[in-house]
Amino acid sequence: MNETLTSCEQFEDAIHRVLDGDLPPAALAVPHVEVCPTCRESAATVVAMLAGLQALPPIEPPPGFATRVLPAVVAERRRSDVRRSVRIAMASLAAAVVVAFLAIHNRTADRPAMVVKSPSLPNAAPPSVGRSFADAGSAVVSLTRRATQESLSPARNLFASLDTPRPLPIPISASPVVVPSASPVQPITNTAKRALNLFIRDVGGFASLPQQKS
Amino acid sequence: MTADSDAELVSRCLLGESAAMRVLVERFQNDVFGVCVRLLRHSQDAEDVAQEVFVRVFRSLNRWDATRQLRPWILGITINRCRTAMAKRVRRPELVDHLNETASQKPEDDTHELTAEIRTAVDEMRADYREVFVLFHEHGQSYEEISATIDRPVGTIKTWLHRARTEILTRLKRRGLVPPTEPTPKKVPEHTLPVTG
Repeated sequence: MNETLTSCEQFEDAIHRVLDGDLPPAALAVPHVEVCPTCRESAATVVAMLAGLQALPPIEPPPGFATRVLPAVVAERRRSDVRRSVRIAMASLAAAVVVAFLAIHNRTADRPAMVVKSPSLPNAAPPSVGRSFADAGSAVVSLTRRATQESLSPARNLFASLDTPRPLPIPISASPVVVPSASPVQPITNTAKRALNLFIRDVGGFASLPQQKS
Repeated sequence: MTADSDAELVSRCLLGESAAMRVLVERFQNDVFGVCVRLLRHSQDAEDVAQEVFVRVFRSLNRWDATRQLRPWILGITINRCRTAMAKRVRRPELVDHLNETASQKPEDDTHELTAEIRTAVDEMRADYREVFVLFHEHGQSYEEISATIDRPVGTIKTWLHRARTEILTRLKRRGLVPPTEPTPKKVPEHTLPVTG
């Protein structure tokens, strides 16, 4: 019994070696199979399987397989080159953005450092919305002031050219003479006269016109 | 084919020589297409995946370690692409019927009942068992090469291969495809023969 069991183990090992290709199938034709039906059946099955595997027809690729594969490989290589170029461009763009961001960040980060180093300045107040609006308003005013001055300068030159020596406006004497009252409210008639005098004074051409007697 | 010639071929391919690329495809197309057919069980799918394998091979050729063999490296890519294709099949159930139909027609081309049964057994095997069995018994790869191909320890490869073989042997026995195993009759000494008449 013990001898038979040992022989079965040895036969099992021989089966594995045959299946691994280390031994030929003929190595299973040992006396043990004559007395052990289990090992005999195992040997027959192994031999049948190996025979079946050897009888399998070889699998060959369809005709022209390589001819069809190579254009696909070349096309893929071109696509890969394009993808690589796009990746390089994107990486360069990303690097440029990062560099620009770092440069701006460093610049803005340097300003508070300078302020802090200055001993004369008081502690910087935290930014407030009202102060920001005030700064923005003054900036707008300073920007528009220049434009306004440029626009008004021709008109000023015009008035300067008209600023020739001219006779003083003749006070219009009304008879009877009206004593001006102490009240700041003046009669409408006087107001109209004054307006006319101012107009005549500013426009020198009208100064030579004969004065109408009121 | 020696590893040196493979390395030389790869160098020429990396230089962009189309003739070398064709040689490489023709050198390994039987292995690649054979594994694809065995694992995918569909010739058209196998051709598509095999083409994809070579596209991947040429794309990654500059990463191949020249100190290792080229064939297991290419078969490793083949196994991976087949796994991906099989995973896609799971997500495309409408294709399964067609595949089963095609797979069931494949053994009919074989005249031998034994080979048909072996094929069916391999097709119905677990995927990792099938990979190991096909690589060992149909493509002659060693345990070490299979280990390098599918990136598993040699012990695992041996276990899977043993289980795959056991499945097939059991199937062949169950189907009665094993020839009868009667012990050879022993020669009986003449002096022990019973006297009749």
